[in-house]
Amino acid sequence: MGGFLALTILGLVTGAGYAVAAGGLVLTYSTSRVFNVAHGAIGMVMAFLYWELSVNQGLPVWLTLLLVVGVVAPVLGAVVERIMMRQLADAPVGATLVVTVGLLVMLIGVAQAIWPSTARTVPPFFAGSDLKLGGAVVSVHDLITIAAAIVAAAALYGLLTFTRVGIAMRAAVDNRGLLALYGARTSMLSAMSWGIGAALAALAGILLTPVVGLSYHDLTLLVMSAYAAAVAGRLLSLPWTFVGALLLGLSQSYAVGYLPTTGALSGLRAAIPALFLFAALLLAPQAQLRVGQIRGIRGVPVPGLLRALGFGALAIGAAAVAAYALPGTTSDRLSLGFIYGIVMLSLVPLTGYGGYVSLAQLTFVGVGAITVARLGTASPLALLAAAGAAALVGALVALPALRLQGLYLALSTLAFGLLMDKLVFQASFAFGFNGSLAVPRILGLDAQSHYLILTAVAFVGVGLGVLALRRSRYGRYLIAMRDSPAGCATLGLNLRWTRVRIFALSAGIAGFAGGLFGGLRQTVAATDFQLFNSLPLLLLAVVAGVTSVTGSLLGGMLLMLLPVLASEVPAVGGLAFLVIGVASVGLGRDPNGLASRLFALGRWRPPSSFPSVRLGRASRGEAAS
Amino acid sequence: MTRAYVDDKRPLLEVGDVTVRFGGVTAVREATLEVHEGEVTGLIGPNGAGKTTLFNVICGLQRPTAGTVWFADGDITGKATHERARLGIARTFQRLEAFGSLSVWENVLVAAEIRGHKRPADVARHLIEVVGLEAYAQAPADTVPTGIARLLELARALALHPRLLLLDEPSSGLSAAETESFGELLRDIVAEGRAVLIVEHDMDLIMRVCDRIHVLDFGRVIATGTPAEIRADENVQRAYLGRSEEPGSDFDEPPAADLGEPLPDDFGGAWINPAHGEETRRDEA
Ligand SMILES: Nc1ncnc2c1ncn2[C@@H]1O[C@H](COP(=O)(O)OP(=O)(O)OP(=O)(O)O)[C@@H](O)[C@H]1O
Ligand SMILES: [Mg+2]
Repeated sequence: MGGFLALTILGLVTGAGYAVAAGGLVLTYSTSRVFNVAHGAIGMVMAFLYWELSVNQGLPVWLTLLLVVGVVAPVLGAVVERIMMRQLADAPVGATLVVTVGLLVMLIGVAQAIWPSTARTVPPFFAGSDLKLGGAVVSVHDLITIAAAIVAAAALYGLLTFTRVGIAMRAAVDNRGLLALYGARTSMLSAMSWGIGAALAALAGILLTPVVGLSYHDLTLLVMSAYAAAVAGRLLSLPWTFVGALLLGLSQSYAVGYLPTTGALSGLRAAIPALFLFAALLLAPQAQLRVGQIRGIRGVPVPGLLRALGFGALAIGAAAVAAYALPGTTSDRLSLGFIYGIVMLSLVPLTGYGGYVSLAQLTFVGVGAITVARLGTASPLALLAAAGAAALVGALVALPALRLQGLYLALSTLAFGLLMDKLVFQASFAFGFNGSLAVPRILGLDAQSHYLILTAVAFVGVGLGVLALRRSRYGRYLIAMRDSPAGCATLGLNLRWTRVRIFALSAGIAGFAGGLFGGLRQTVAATDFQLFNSLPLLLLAVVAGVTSVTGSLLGGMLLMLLPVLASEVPAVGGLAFLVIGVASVGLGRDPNGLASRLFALGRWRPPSSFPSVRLGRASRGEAAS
Repeated sequence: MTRAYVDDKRPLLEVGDVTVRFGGVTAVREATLEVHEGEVTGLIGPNGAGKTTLFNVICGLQRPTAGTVWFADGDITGKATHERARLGIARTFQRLEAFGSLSVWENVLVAAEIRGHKRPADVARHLIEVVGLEAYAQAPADTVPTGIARLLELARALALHPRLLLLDEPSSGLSAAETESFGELLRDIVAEGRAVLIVEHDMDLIMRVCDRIHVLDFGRVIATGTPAEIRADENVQRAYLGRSEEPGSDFDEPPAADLGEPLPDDFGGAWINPAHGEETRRDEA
């Protein structure tokens, strides 16, 4: 029984920490309708800052807490709101996700640059002073955490329910313009809610550090737990969010206490929020379509078939020349660039046309690689099997969020990536615990030069396929669905299945790339497909241009170059995350990316931007998408 | 102009005792109305009366708190929006839902493709001509003026070859001449045996084209009848007068007295604010 009590207390403490984080998330979301994926990352950076000031510099705990939670975090939140969020006020969900993921990656980059990874510990508050409670030991830190959660909950609830400022905050999201008419300073309100949100993230990060550890990634993933809790309240209700947080904390604690947590199940603790989230999504009521929301996004021109074939031949020709003229290591690098390019092509229909965001595209690549490895054949059919397996998994991911909307879909990919990372990839049918797999080369192409030509051909083939999709009716459906889901539904389009199909297609392409990736590396491990590497991939895809084949190739090559840069110019390479983060915060709103600037160079026309530049005269509509 | 209403066949659409509550706001209260094939049915009422909400209930975008919707002899209350579209319900939106990044032509084409026509391009081309959008066919839908976008939504809805067409304030943004031909188009559509349910602020148009009118006030259907009956209806007049701010407004004379005449433009000064609910994005400089 003592064990049970101890687990319950641990669960409540963890849940209280989640509740603090989730409260901040719900506050910022309900007042700005921007889901801050970087919420956990803010907590992470603040936890590091707390460590720096209190442990490294030796400041008193109370002063450090006051400084970090009371001053630095709110200022950071307000600055983030001022710089980034304003421009996102009316942006589509996809753009808000990309920009906040950019912030997340940037914050990780900052943390890694300032605090290079070494072992750091943060002592709990009042370390050593424990209380006995019916056979279980409760530390003062635990009590403080629970008390902090209760105070934060009560304060937030009181703020939003009883104060003028809080009521105005909630009203701000419904109608900024109207509220401004009544004299409210909506920008002030929004900055305040982001400030408070960041302070809560910081508090949660600091409180949970003794449980989670001072780690860039684990603390950043706090957003996952906070999100899972917030889904219980449909991202809007604070009381339900707190209930969700406590349930999550408890289930995590019991799972860790009563289930075996060695070997393949060692990631269970980290995976519980993801499982909890899927359960919450399945129970969530059906979302109603939002009406009255349209915004055209001018795409880049779609090349005709001949033009596309011409460019394809050019790319393959260039790859062939490189294959024979350049050393083998360069061939391998270029192959990798083409393979990443295919992964980015998988985002073109999904994100570029459809406006959906996948935060775990590399996980599908991993599924493809495992499939080819397990089949153990060099037949090109293995690539199709890889695509099929990944497509199936992609459809499964889209299913729980089927009744819900884009934001939930994107965030379930995050949960899915986490689940695969921590549990499935560790299982014996996948890589095994910390294991790796040998992958055969397709067609037995052992020469690096031959493999380069193969990947170039594969890229061109998939690229032509994506362009054909865009020109087909399904391409139009995707764009129509992005522009107006309600409009599509009233025309008779089954949004759910269209969404599942596009997710499956995208995952399938990524799985296909995974087969090629495995063959290139020849041995692959779970670390090759880590969730956290999917994020820079998504960001680079958008920065380079996620609406075009050219953008995909550009993005693929850039992604390939990053580690090269890191190994050859370490000083710059270490900042890669930072650079990608900054670039996507700046460019994340324009899915046409750098590629559209290239096209514009060729045609001496200003690039289209996002939201679209209105073409002055209607007759210039030729360039439409 | 108005024809006698014969109650001999089952209505195509029957909304029965529908109530919609948004938190504390009751947008629609036990509304009951019918729409018959071959007729233009009007739905009028002040701003915020619940007309758009009722449309959303009929096409499945809004689940009613209570009540049923019957269409073509089947209960469709629980059906999804796309299923209703396939049964033959099409609509346009008061706040436009055109596909902004597709061209006008592609907007109509996509509808014809979703409907599964054998030759979607032919259907789309024909409809673009029917509503007179040839000049704008290649323009991105978010660059055209509001009136044009409304016609585009009409063409898109017609591409479904619907049995029931729901039009939410379709004439705002149209010129007088365009409104005139729009009215004729509506009569042509119902002449093919379809049904039209139209929400409109242009009383002139409503009185001219409708066979029957339902009047909604505070979410309640306060009157149902032919245009002549509606003009004479006391409840309707009271609803108008109750809101009318100008003492010398036209309601001082009973509307029934000038049945044949088109009503003045400011009929029900407080009733309609044409700009209300418009998307602000179309800031045509
Ligand atoms: N999603 C919603 N949430 C809360 N209240 C809503 C919602 N949609 C409509 N309402 C309210 O319901 C009432 C009816 O709105 P509705 O848009 O149906 O009126 P309407 O008759 O179409 O008015 P208008 O002539 O201005 O278009 C209004 O008071 C409106 O504020
Ligand atoms: Mg309306």
